[in-house]
Amino acid sequence: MNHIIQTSDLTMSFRGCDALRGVTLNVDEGTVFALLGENGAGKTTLIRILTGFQLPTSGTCRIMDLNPAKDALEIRRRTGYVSDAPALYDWMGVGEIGWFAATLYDNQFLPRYKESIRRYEIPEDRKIRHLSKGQRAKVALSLSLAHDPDLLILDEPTSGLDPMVRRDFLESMIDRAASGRTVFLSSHQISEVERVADVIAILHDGKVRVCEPLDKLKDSVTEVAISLEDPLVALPTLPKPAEVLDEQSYGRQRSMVVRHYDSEMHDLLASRVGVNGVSERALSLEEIFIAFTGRSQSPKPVENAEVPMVIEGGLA
Amino acid sequence: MTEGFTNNRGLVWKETRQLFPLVAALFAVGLVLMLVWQMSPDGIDAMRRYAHYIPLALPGLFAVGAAAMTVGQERDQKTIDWLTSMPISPGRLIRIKLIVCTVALGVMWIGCWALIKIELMLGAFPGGFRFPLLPNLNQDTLSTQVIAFLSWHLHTFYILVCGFYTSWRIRNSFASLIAIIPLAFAPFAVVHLGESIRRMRVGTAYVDPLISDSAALAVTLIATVIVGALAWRAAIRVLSPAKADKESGDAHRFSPYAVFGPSAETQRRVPDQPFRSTTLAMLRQSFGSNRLALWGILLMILAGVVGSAGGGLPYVGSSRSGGTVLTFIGLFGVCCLGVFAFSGDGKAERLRFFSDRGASPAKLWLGRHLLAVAVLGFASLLYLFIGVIGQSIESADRRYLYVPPLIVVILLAVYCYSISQWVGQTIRALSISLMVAPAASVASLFAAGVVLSQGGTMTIGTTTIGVAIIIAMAVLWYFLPLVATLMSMRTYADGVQGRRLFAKSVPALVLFLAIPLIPLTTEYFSYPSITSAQRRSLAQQASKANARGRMPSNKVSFQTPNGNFQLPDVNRPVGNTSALGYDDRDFSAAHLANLYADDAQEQVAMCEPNTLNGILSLASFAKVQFIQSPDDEKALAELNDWLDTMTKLARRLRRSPRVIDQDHADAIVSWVADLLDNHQYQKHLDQPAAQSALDLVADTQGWSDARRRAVLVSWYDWHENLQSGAPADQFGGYPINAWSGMYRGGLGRWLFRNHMIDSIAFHLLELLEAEEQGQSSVQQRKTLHELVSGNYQEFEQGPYSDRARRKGASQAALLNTEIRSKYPGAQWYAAWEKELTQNAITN
Repeated sequence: MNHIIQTSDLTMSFRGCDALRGVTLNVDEGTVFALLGENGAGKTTLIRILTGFQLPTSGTCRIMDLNPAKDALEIRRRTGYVSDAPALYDWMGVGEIGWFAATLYDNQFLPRYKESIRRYEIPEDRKIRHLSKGQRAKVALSLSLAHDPDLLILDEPTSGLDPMVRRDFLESMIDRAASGRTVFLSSHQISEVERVADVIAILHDGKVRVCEPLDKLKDSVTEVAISLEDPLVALPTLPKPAEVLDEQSYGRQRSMVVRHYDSEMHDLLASRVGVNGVSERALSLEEIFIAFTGRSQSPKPVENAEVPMVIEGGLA
Repeated sequence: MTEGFTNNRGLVWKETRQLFPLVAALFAVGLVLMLVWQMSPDGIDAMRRYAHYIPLALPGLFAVGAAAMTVGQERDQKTIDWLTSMPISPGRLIRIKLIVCTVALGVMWIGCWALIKIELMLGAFPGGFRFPLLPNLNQDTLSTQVIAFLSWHLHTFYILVCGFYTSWRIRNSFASLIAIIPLAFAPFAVVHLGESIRRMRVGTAYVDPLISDSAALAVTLIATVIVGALAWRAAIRVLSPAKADKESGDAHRFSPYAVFGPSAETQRRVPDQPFRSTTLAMLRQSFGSNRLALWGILLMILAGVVGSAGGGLPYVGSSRSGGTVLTFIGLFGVCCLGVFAFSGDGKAERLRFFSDRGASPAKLWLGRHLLAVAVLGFASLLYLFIGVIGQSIESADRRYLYVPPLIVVILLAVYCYSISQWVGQTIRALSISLMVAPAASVASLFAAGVVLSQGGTMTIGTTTIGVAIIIAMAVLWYFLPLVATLMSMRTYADGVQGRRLFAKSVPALVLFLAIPLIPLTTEYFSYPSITSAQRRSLAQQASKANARGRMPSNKVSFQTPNGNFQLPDVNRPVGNTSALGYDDRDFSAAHLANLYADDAQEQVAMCEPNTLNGILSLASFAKVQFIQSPDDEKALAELNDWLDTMTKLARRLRRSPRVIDQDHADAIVSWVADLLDNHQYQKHLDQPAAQSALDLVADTQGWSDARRRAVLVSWYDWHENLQSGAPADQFGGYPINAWSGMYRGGLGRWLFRNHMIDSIAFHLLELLEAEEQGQSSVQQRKTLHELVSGNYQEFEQGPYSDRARRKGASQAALLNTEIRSKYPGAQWYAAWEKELTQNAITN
């Protein structure tokens, strides 16, 4: 499968701040790619680099085999982009802004735009300034989709949309991917992303913590609950490729979020002296996201699991 | 090309739509200003002359605001981000913006020329239109005209390019607009610098203004190219992918810290304690952001203070025009300060931060004005300080410069600020509000002055309104804009904009427009107009009087082409004109008499006041010669000639349809009666000329009829002239603009002129009626005094008073050209006339 987006070791430094610290991503054609990350993680900076608005400090980036810095015009012709706060000309009417944008694209733009607006039930003659926030978002989406782009880049696309429209929109993203188009979206609406995304990337502190297909990601992360005889019981180090993303103690109960957990590890833990029982549970994407980005539990190598351990009420 | 247009038609349409409000606002403001100035009273002709150049300012103002509308506004509202997310190359975007603005500038120039053409048709430029503010003001050859034309047009294009440069270079719209000012003057500064260097080298040798104009044109052309290149570079940088280091530098590029303070790396200190007062927090906010704009405003106000108070001081110079320019820059700075109150951090969305946290609208309002209070207070202190310093410095230049009192400066500055902050709150687009604010300040101030002067001068001294009420209204009107923004603050802070916000200002706006009209309205309704019935009656009588037919008339006029003494030039029918010099000893009454010798007896004469004055002077000269040599036959013959001529002239003047000729006839009769009464001439009363003169003096019966007929026909002619579109500047031969009661602007004239003429005609007829019936005419004369003199003079001291109509005084008044030619009917039935009438009856 071709990579429609390829980034390699992208870094982006602002004064006193490293927004991106070596981001490497490959996005396949015909997928819905979701970029998740907490506020300030660097999502918007990455999107600005992908759309040619920003030059990276270092690293390379290719969109549809084009360089965003040099071929921004061609990339913009073939992509649709909706920023997190699209600023449309509020003095224009809904129909006018479609006509205006249509002069920059092919002949099919306007009919598609009008159809989209009709579907969203927005009057064409209404001024943008008189639209609600959700209606503006719909207009922005319609404008970004009307030229049927190969790649659609969306920064918080469903913000302000009502649940019904949000569902329709996200399902239409699945249809787009099915027709060979690619959707790259960043969102905080993890539960909704979970429904549509093929691939998930979690960006944290300027780095890609994980980038995997959704089902694989969900399969690879497990929450392990361990019942102990004594809170001070030391647990064994889990063998590679296991990665403890999060670990917490509640008295004699200990909970770990482990990546690449398997049955051998279950036996290892269960056979430990002082361990009364071990149980596993599959996690939702939101829980996985929190495990990857949680501040209190900075990710650490599995071999460091025995020292220092965070226990409720103080350090052990 | 067609394909290119098709591809770009959306962009062209968008840019055009964005510019349209600016074009419309400028034309509207320009027309209002022109209208206001046209209404100005006659006493300020100089201002009227400047007003004729208002159309020329429109393209310049457009050039200032165009880039702010098409670039600055897009950057402020971030629509440029959406626009550039579409497949448009930066070069294409920049080109289209520049081309559309240039075409729109061309449209502004076409509009400007259309307005100038209208002004030319209205006679605004009697000597033909010439571009102002150029060294070579004559523009009498094709080359000078072309250079003047190119200079003005190129300079507006240069300002447009400067606007593009500042808008792309400086992210803040306000600051970018202010930064245009020094750039706009830069070519002139370069030319002046070059001139100074030349003078240092070769001395003050004469330079042909044509060369100066050409040099300025060349410098402007070069500057346009340079600034254009810089603008292109700045635009490309903005529209290209941002570099990491560039973006981080952007935030601090225009920070004052970057120049004066510690390095940008230094973290700004956050106070340990928060502000306990919302108002203080807002004051801190006012100067915490947008510092470049604030610095610009402060510099402009400082320039204004120095320009208006520092003339003649060391290092300042004594250029009157330079001082005026600086003063206007200062006032513009005050207007910017007003707009600043509700822009940037004063915008509704920013103020909402405070209002959402419980700050009352009044606190918000006060907080936004505290900065202005501080700035204007500081400027006032500086003005005072410079004034005090100036008092202690002996400077010859300073004695000839007018330094306005501090209170006047403060009142003017607060007024400009007050209007500007209202404009800033009401008009959302910064570039439009910055253009409209100074224009609205000037127009409203001037319009109020004009309108108040229509009624105020008439009423302040009387009980119609009263001084206290006038002052109270003036105070209310002065502070109304501030009250208006206070009242609409809640709506504004709630983020309401456009028509809904404007609707909140409508009551204040109505009041603001209505207050200056109150004195005018009061005067209009208390004006001594005549009723409709009286006017109908007057019209019937006038039609009858006119229908009786007119006799052929000769106009006796007086020409003084070069200010030399010249005496009667009798304009007879075309091709029969004779002009005679005062020192022409061959001239005598015989000439004048002979000129009429072949005229039919019934012919009418019309005489201008100066002509009559000349005739009276010559006749009096003959009289004096006779009195000095009573036995000189030649002197007697000359005097008799004059007496005969004057008698004939008086009879013909009586037949004139003009009121003024009746007064001229009175003057001649008075002169004749005086001569006949002279004891040295008494022995010559048997002479034919004396007999004829005696008949003239005794024939008092027809005077009233002649006067009545003259009043009616003059009134008829007045209305005929109005209907035919002829200049209606005279009534019965009296120039109405010389009447104090007519000291009004266009609006006042339009409102009062016809009422005034109707009323004067009616009361002149009433005066005749009363006197014929032996009744007192004092009431009619009082009304005539009010109509003609306004309230500039007390009735008892005026020409219609009994005092001025006593024997001796009235004859003097008749022989006084100014009084005779200004006050219709003032001496009708005066003491001398009554005495003559009595004598005639007795004899």
